[in-house]
Amino acid sequence: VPTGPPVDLRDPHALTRFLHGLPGVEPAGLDRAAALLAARRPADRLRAIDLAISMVDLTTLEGADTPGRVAALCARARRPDPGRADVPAVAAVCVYPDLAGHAAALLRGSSVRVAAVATAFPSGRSSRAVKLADTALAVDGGATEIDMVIDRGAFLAGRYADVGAEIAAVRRACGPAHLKVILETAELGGYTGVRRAAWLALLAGADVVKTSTGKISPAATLPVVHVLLQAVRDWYRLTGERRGVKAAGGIRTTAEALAYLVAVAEIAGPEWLHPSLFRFGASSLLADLLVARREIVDGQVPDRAAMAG
Amino acid sequence: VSTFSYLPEPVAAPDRPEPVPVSAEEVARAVEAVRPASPSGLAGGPARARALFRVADAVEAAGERLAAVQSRETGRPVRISLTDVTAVVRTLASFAGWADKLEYARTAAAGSGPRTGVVAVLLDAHAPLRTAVDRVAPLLAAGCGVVVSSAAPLTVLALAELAEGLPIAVLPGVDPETLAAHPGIDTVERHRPAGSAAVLVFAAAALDQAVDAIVEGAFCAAGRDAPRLLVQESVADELLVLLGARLTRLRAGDALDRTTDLPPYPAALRERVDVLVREAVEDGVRESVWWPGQGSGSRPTPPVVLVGAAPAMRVVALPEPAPVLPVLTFRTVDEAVSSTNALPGLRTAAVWTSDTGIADATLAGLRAGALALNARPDEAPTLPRGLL
Repeated sequence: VPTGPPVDLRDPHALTRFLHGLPGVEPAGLDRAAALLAARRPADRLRAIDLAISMVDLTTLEGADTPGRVAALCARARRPDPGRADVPAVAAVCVYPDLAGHAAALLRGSSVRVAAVATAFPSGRSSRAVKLADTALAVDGGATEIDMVIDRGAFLAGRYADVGAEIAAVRRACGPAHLKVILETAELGGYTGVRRAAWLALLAGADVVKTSTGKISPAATLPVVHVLLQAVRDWYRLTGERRGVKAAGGIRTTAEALAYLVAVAEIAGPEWLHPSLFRFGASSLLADLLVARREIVDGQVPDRAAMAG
Repeated sequence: VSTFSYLPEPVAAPDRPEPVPVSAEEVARAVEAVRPASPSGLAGGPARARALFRVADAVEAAGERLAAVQSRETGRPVRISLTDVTAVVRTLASFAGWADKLEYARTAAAGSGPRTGVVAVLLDAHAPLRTAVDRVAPLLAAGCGVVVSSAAPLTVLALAELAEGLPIAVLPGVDPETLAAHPGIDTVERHRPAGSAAVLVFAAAALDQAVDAIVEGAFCAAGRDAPRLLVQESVADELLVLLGARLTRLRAGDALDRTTDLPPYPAALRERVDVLVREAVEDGVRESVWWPGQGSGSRPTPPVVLVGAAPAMRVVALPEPAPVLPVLTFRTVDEAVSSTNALPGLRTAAVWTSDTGIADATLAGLRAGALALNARPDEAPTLPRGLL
């Protein structure tokens, strides 16, 4: 029988005890399990590719981003393969907060959502006030999804309650917008740290736990995503709520994307095979998915250069 | 069936060709062909060492093919067969290292010098690569001649082909007892009886990885031993939920497909599973019996998990290498250690805990052939292979 959240976020000692009491992760076993599952392939490849396309957060996070570039991204998000009406739209475009309004205007009336990175992305190093203002800028512009970064310094120093309070504050500033919490898993000192950070984010109200900013290497890896999927699966068992996972950065090929989908189905369960519960944060993955899709539908390899967005 | 469904489906056991019967003359010829020239086994040590190292290299080079032969013949999933090859290569290399050091061994064994002769090795069909090398490599290292009778002869023949220059003969169609009774045979090595393979899970443990290891050891890479799970009461429910979810994701199917998890279960084994489950229910398995794809009123389809087992039940007390996993609970380290040590023929014990104090106390108390902490027990080549 699902109960409520297992711990009070405002009690620092209880929170630390809870997070440190979570079952650990045995790295060798996890890596082996991830490699084992990666050998599996979905039975219906075309359906799986369409599902992967519908889960993409098409992302541009460059200092040199321009309104023109965002416009091209939005057009591509709505109609990923203009020649093919049956290709689904992607889940969202993901931009910097100052461009959220521009993207929202271009995507009005479509199913594509606007996601904006906020809270001093990518380092997360600024004052609470700046982070909340950054979030407000994105939400006011029309972003319906906020991708925030956690304060890794505070997390690694064991100030879990501070990190949790900040996530909860951003959660409130989001209003109705969905909150994705970027853990930057490469900076958390191992899988056990990733598990604790994921639980902390879930406790603080994250709708989605997300691996990486894409600015640090390694970004998403299969074993790390296993840990996040285990966390949302266990959260569901505990509370009856389904929270999501986003694998961001470093996923470039169809084969990689499908390996992630197999992991989603196997670890969290088939209910998570939905854009509301699993996302890919990627910029070059979409082109590869479309090429693979054309290969299946047309039975021949398309001209890759002509399809790049 | 959804795009991502992998519920196990029953797979028939592979057909085996009937081996051609072997005549008495052929047995005699094979026995004499492998008879060692030197009765002490000390001469030719370095040459045997070189030959065994060569075999190890050849097996490694032919690993994919050997794994495929074993999987095709026995239904053992090919990804498990590939791990068998790795283990076999290590075993061969380890005994190659012993071959030229027997003089030292004799001194250490207080005068009773090694003697050699012709040994009949009788193997069943289980994991033939591993069992054959486990039995044969020490004999070859010591300078014995070996005649093998195996219920999985194709795999053993493929292996023996790589053992060029070593005194080994494989007789596919021979009746094991006829071979054992042949006057030229000095000693008979039979496949060893089943023992117990225990996994102990304490409350503070990496449960997800523990579950993977339990399923892998008990069902995917099932050994000759009977799997037993002992779990601390406070974490039993959580572990069983994870275990149940993991079981529904197991894949049965083509043994040569690298994503296949489970071997096929021949009709005789399925009937044996029925009997074990019935006995367990008679003996009062308290809670439940479950298996993947369980439907009401349906027959248990292996692999089967028996929750609420107790040490006195036949399914626990009589080790049998079947895809049936009895689950016992314990409360304290002492109880865990004594229950595990009471299992008959305890071959391996894996302890899962992230508490170093519990790990120390438990590992110090267990009396098993091989111990592991937060991992599957690795049957190191140097382990004694007798009656543990």
